Amino acid sequence: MDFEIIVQPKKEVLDPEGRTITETLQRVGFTNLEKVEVSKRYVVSIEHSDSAEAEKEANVIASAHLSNPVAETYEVHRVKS
Amino acid sequence: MSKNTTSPAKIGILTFPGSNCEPDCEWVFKKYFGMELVPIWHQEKTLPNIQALIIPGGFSFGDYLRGGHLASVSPCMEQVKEFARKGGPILGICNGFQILTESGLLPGTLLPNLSKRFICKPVDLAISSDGTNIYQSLIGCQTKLSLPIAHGEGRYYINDEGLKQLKDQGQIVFQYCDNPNGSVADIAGICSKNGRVLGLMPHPERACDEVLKGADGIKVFEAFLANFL
Repeated sequence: MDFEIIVQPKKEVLDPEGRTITETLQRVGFTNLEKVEVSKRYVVSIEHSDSAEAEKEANVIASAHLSNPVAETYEVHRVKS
Repeated sequence: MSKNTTSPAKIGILTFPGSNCEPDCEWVFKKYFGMELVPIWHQEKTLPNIQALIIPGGFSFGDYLRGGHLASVSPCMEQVKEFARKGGPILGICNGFQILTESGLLPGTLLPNLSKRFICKPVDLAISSDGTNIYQSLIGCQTKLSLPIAHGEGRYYINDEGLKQLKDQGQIVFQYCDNPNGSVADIAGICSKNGRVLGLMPHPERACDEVLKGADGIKVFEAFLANFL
């Protein structure tokens, strides 16, 4: 089964890419635009008969490896195949 | 890690696929300290008999995911953590510093530079006067060092509470005089609470000969060695 893992900077950590995109889009005329946040998306496929166990494993992969606990948060979503 | 006067110190140099600064470290240690570094490949599960360890710079595992993370789970790292736990001195340079934070051997993390650009230039560094650590006396609080940096992910980050702890415990060692990458508190290098694990983004091994426009790097290696010899 497939899981989508979204990793993004914590709110208190400055995201220079998001800030630069926001400022540029505002400059070219998107005056209603308040903020762009940049995140990374991973899709992991896990072969397991127990979906709860597979989800647990996806969470461990996300928390221990794909995200940086000092500066990033993550979300794990089951992807319907 | 007591003073050893009977045989020359053995210092290991740990490399991963993508490490590339080990020849410069080997050159410096041979030329200035008469030491042959002991090469250690990341797949080793046991460390040889060494008194200290250097983790050199480079791009271990292509910096995939983020600098230092994939190296931090290499087979050797359990033994490296054990070595540090017993008080073994470890010096991590650039990517080596990133590997130390990713392994939890040093607090905080190194994020992409604020400019999003790879920065390669000489920088001036001050020795931090926050709290007390052994490097203040070994290098000298008033000393300014000029060392080159070469990194894309060198913006040191730690939350406010962590920063306060670093200051109170004297763990900030090197600070940029003119912050090039957006690091909190201008941090360029820190040490563990006991001072034995030292990590810095600048490259002392690239500044150990006047031909290379400066030899301040030797002061960093001398201080690291004086820490345990």
